[in-house]
Amino acid sequence: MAKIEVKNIQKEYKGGQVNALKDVSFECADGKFFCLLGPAGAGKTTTIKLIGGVEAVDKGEIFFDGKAVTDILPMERDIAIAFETYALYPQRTVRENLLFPLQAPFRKENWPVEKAEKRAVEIAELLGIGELLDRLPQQLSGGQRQRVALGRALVRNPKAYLLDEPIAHLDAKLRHRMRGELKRIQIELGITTLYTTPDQLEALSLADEMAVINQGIIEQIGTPESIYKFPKNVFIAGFIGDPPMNILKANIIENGLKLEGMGILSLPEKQNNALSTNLSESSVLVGIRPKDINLVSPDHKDLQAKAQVRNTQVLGETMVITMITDLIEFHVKMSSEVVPSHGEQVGITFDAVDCHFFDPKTQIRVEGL
Amino acid sequence: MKSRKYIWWWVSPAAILFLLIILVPFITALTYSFRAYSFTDSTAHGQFIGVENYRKLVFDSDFYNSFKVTFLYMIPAIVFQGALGLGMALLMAGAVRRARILIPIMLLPTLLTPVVIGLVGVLILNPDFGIVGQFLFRSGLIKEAVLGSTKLALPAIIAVDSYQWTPFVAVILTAGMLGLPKEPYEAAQVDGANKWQTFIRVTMPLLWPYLVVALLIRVIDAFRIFDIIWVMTRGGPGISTETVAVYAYRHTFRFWDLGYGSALIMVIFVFISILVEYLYKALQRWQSNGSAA
Amino acid sequence: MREEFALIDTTKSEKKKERYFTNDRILRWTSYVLTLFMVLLFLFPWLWVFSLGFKTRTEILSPTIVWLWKPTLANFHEVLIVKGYWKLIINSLIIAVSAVSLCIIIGVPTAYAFSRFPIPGKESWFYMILTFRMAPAVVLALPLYIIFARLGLLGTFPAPIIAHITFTLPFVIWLMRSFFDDIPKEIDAAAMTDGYTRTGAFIHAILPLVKSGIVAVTLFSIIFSWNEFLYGLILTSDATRPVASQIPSLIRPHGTLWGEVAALATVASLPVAILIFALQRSLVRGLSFGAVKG
Repeated sequence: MAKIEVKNIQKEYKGGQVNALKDVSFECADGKFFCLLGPAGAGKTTTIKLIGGVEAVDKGEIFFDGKAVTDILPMERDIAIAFETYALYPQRTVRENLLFPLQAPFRKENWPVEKAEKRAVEIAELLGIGELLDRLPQQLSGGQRQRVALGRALVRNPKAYLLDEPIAHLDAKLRHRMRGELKRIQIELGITTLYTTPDQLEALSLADEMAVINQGIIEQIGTPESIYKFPKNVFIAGFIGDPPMNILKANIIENGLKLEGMGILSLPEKQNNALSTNLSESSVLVGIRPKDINLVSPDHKDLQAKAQVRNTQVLGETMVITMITDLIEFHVKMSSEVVPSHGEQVGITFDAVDCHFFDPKTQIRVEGL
Repeated sequence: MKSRKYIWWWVSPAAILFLLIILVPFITALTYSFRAYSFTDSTAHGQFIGVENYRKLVFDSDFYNSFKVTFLYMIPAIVFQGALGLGMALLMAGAVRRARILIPIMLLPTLLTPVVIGLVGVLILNPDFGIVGQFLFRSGLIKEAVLGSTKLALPAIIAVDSYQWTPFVAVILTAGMLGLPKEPYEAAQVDGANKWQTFIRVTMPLLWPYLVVALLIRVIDAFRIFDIIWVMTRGGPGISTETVAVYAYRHTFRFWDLGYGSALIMVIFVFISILVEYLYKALQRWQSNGSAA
Repeated sequence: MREEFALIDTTKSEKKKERYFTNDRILRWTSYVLTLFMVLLFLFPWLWVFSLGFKTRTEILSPTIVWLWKPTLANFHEVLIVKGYWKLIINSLIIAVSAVSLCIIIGVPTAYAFSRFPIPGKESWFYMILTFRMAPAVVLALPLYIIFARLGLLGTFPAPIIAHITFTLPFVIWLMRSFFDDIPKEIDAAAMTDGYTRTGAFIHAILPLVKSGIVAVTLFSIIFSWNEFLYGLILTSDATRPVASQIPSLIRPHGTLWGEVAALATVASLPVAILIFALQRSLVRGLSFGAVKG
């Protein structure tokens, strides 16, 4: 097992036309499950390819257990990659796919035929594909192929696993199940795992530690909890959480904030001062999660806003309401005990304590509140 | 790892081979074009004569005639092969779906050596016993052998060339047709289109790229055509069927004027590269327009 | 009343269904018959020439078309054995197999490189190749003739073989490259992380996937080389001449022995005809790929 360290790596494609990674650094501790979360095109697959050695970095360094691996070939790095598209060898059976890594020239002596076969069967059984050993990839379902891809990675005890959106193409139910399986296997085998995904729910639930990446830049690194509770900038705030955090514009006034298109949010003096000193102008972005907004009657005093119900989505025990004031649309998440009707006028309140504040110019979180 | 040097390992044999067999002849031709080298002219023994060869070329009316003949052949051939190929594809598509073996059968003319196809042309048009030639001659429709007539020789060549290549166009279009998506047809059916409208509005736009590619290949080949013409008419009667390729052959390997021939092929080469660039740019433009649509 | 209406309705629609069904069927079968007719029409000229090889001189020259006759092998015997032209076939074979083998060995890895690596000046290579493809064979034939004459290689086998490489190699690289492009690059990456070098990945993981492509390209290249006329004529001597290049010289202004010419042409065409049927499946795929992908 190994600790993976990535320092300041940069990667460009097409002679500078596409800047895939601008300056990426992070660390994945030995035996930990590290998630790289980001939207499509953020650079997740590029990062995996660079760490795996499939492509070369333009700048920066990569270390496994303190040893620099930036310039050595993938086969010498002793890592395993599971690709988003599985990349199974189409003309080989499942068994042969699993055996392929063990038959590589420089590894062959350690894996005599019997031992290799036994290992392949062992891994297949572990992943529940034991009966499919003699089938060809085209005869398998998506979920089965994905498990073969994973099996091929597991079969040789590498230093680390790099999983690139491995369950992206499975149906929802299977994905849910595989998430659990992956985590279980990782814990059982204690393998250092780097896992990329565009699904923030997945990252939040699987990771020991995670990093959010966007357009080639790491936005934030931390535990899922810390990122959820203290998103560093507007992008992360809007990306994490389902439904995403509402971001509202506001101006600083005497005792609080005047929310654009809405009412007033009163702030304790300390906070107000902190805001004024930290911001260059008198406007601020307020982030409030849908679950922290309460619905009250429109005549309630001390409302933050009056709004009209535009749309309600009942998701079992919770529901998400899309509401609209004259200018702004936002979301509220609450229990679905009482469902408001379409077009109903309601009032909303939320607490300053639950708010996240961001500088509108830099989009960065205002600290110390 | 992925260094320049490493890539060179993969590509160098081909690159070296290619440069050798392209560059060296090119330079040879270039140097010869400025010299007088002729097996038939005893005064020519490789002396440097500047652009004399090129001058001779510019003033040779036969040279311009060869271009004229080439275009006179190319345009009708392409139109004919395109239209007939399309018709054949429309007819064949259903049957081919059932019997794939039709494709290799249809492609037989295309894949046979052009020399044999030319021979087929010669034999068929033979006025004494050719299955077509006999009939034309005896019924008095023509007075002389087809291949000996300045008016009919070129059409005959176009016909024989089409015999060889129309199946090619047809097969490409058929392959295209077999791969067409069903949805536009279902939509047309729902919209109540009749057969003709479906053809114009659905089939043609979908087949268009295949047609263009097939005909583009024919345009590219138009300057190369030699074997068929040589077998059938040797460029005659006179120079009525002398395309660029035949003209070039005559002046190099018949008259053995290597200096003049070298100049000739240089000029042809430059002409073709300009044509290629033009075609390529047009194709790019067309492709980006088409995909936007 | 309602029942009557119901009866009328269903009968009408049933009739419609039947008629529609038959109409469609008639159309379809007509197209099949017409297609068959068309195919036969296309084959007929060649088959007729083919038949001339089996006829005697008088039978060929007779003014009426003879449909049934006693086939004779005299022409074949004459042309192949007496005149010794069977050697031409061996020559064609030698040239084709040599040129194509060399081009496959060199071209396939090159095509892989073009598919996987960023090669500087890809566009210019493309332009150059296209220009040579379009230029008449004479353009290269003359300088090659001069060079080989200087080197004393005229009339030997290396001369036409090298000439054939000029058009076979680009073809191989072109077509193989599009086959390689169809294989996702992740398979290369998977093999390399599994413990292979790039070369190892190429040999063990990628090559097996293009096996059928290589076969198709090889057979096509052999056909093109076999069919080639000009280089085979100019750069060879009587001892090394391929079959296709010899045929036109048998056609004289007067007194051509048509039967023998036809026989030779038939023998020259047979290998190609056989290969075509071996290539059935790849033909369609190869054509549409090569064509549409440019």
